[in-house]
Amino acid sequence: MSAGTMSLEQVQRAMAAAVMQPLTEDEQMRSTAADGRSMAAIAESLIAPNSRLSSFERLEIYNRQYWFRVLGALAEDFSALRAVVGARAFEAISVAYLTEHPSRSFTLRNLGSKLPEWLAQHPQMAGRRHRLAVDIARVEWAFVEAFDGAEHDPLTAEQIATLDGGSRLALQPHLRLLALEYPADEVVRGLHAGEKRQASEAGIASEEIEEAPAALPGIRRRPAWVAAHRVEHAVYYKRLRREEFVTLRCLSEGKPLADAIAAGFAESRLNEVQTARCLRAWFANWAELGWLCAPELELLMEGM
Amino acid sequence: MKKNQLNAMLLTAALSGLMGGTAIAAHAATQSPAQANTARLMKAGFRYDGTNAATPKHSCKGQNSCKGQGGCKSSDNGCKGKNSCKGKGGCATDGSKMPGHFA
Repeated sequence: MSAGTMSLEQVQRAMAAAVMQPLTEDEQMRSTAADGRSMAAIAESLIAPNSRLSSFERLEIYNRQYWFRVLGALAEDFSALRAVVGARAFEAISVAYLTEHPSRSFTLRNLGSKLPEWLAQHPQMAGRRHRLAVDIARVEWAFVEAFDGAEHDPLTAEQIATLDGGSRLALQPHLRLLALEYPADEVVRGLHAGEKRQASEAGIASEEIEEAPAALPGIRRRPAWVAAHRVEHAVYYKRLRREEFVTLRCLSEGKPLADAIAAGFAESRLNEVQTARCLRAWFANWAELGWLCAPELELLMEGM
Repeated sequence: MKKNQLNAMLLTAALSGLMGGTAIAAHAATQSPAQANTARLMKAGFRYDGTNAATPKHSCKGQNSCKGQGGCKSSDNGCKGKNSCKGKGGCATDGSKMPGHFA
């Protein structure tokens, strides 16, 4: 079938399939499609040749530019992951991931949304650093979400005055909670700071400098609870105690306030006085940072 | 202490903290932006200090709404050395080819 006998939708789908097909190892367009058809024949059905380029060569330009663009975008958002697994493994991860989860959005911001989950399900892709790599991918993706997540009005004193143990609260959409197996937030901070120094010293970041996996002396598996959030247009991450993390997570899941507190301290070793002191300090801190807001249903009701 | 009493005490602690924090935030809003931000940022944790902070493309970091439109990523990234049509006036329009590139 040629483009002349296809509907616009058929042409678009055929073009997208061709453009999103992975490149060869030397970054050329493959000679055959996934279904075994000749790419030269597919190209001829979609694009006419000109005096300088064949149909295959013209289609190949789009195929290559798609991959260069999405691979570059993913490497930018997951630079610490790239450093931890090494450039070669990261490229293999990127190609495999993007083949399963190609760009589906008008914005490349969403390109890595499924990468942490995907990497968790593909341990062979990251080798012996797999669990650490998954945690790092989660931290880096949380920063993307914290950067441009929505921000609602925090709870007002009038709203707080009406709260009791059965009240349900919501968290700011830009606040992301992470339970990690490794202190990946520290690793990401260290790697990003190193990259920034390197870029500053060299004047420009070189893609060739860090090909091998980064050395990570002293990294040990120990749980960490982290909140990634935004203040004044900048992203921050804050370490949380486990009890603090569980209480916040329960609130985000819509549990009543009293139940969230009970769940947060269910396995805690803190005594009653320590627990009360922590709760007072944490809730004050969350309020100062504007983390707590009314549930969306309530916001909708107010808007009616 | 009975369980109900304990729960009531903890809830009171949480709500008093919430009210106190909200009052501090409200007070900060009446101060100069610099003063208000300093107090708030002290409690925010570590600032995410990404690779791109020192470069113009930092403005797009994370949101990337301009990725793919040519405005966000710097020209030394992504397509470096790989642009088969670079310098030929736009591959999307005339299909120009670097001499010998596809030989």
